[in-house]
Amino acid sequence: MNSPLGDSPNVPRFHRTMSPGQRLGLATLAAVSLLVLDLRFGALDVVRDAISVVLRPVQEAAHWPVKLVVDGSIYFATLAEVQAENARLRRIEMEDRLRAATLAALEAENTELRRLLGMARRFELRRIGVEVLYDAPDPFSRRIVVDRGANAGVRPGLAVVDAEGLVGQVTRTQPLVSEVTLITQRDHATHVMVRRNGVRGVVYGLGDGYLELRHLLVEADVRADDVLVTSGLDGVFPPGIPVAQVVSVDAGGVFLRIVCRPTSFGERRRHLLVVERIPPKGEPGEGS
Amino acid sequence: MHESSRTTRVLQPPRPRFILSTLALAFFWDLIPKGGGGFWPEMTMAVLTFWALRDPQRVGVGAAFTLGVMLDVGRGAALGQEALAFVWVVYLAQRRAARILWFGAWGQALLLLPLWSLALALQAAVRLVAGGDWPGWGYFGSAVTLVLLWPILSQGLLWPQWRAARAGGSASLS
Repeated sequence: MNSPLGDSPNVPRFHRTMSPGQRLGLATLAAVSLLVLDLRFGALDVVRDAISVVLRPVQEAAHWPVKLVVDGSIYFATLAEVQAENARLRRIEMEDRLRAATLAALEAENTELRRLLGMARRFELRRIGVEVLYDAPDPFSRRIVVDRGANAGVRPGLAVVDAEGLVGQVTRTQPLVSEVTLITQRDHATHVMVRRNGVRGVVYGLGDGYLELRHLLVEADVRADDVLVTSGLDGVFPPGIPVAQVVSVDAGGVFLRIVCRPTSFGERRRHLLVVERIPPKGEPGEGS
Repeated sequence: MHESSRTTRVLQPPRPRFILSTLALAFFWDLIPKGGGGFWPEMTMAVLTFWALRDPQRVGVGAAFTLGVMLDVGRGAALGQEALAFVWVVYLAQRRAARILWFGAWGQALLLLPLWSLALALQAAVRLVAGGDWPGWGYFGSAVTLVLLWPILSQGLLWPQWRAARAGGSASLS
């Protein structure tokens, strides 16, 4: 393997100056450095973006087969299914309209009261409707790719919701698509509070579809079936979005072990909403 | 009959353009988001393995690294994850090429199975250490899929050289 090539005049010299073993060592070192820089420090987005520019057309072409299959399967959905869904949607729409009417009145009242009290105005919301393209092809994470990107104003950090609650958070954007990490991804953290009493905590994804509310002392008042909503304290997510429902509370030790189930349907929904919390005008805003 | 070191036919050397296009096609396949956990063959890895065995002068550790990094970007995986795996597969395949090619297609596939499994395990280890989700056992199923696919794949990739040899008239040694 490591014969002293080049030293002996009898050995012909080839272009190759490194032995296969050396090449392997070098490549391994390079790969491991990349991994550490990427996973530990997240420092390679520049490299990623540069390669993405070249790869983007190929990637888009590679999505065509999937799009065909998905669109095809929708096209061939039976009439009965579509009619049933239509009926359901009409009913929901009626309910929503009614609720929206009362909500508008409440909102006006809220603004008025806040003005009277001299409190800062609440945030405003910007919504971007997105369609799920596919699950990210990385088996080690729970991510989905949606069809709107930086061009549509999607930014990393924004909340992604469906009608039932929080689905995930935008973690990476490209001009035309973005990647959403689901809240059920292992150790993905979301700041929440219990809707019933405002007890605050952080839920972490467990990686198996469930979530865990951690760091709550045994005295904390959390029960099964409690609904956890976003607290809004992170300044990014709007408060009050349902996140999860408590499945079981286990009081052993100092902290409670609280397992929850996400309220949203997550990746099974085709249409989602990216919501951005816009700080009210006239206030020093957080970011642009 | 399958080409192994025991066959007496002399094959034409593969054309660089053919090697490139098969790698590109495999890469494209791997970029298609397929979903549904595991069992889909990792074609870039398979085609890299093939060329590492058959044309180690052209396809080696460098090609494996480059394709691996590109695939990592394309799939949104950790940067370097697939590069690391491919580099080892190609290196080990090259080192054992003489022995592996002695066997027929199924034998080759079985000898390659540990290599491919190692590649998948390496990736899983890296990602799990970094806090990724457990992908489920189906993830390792893709190595089995490759074993089943290998006879067709290797035959298909050899076909142009074999045909060229036949057309050239210099059919056999002996």
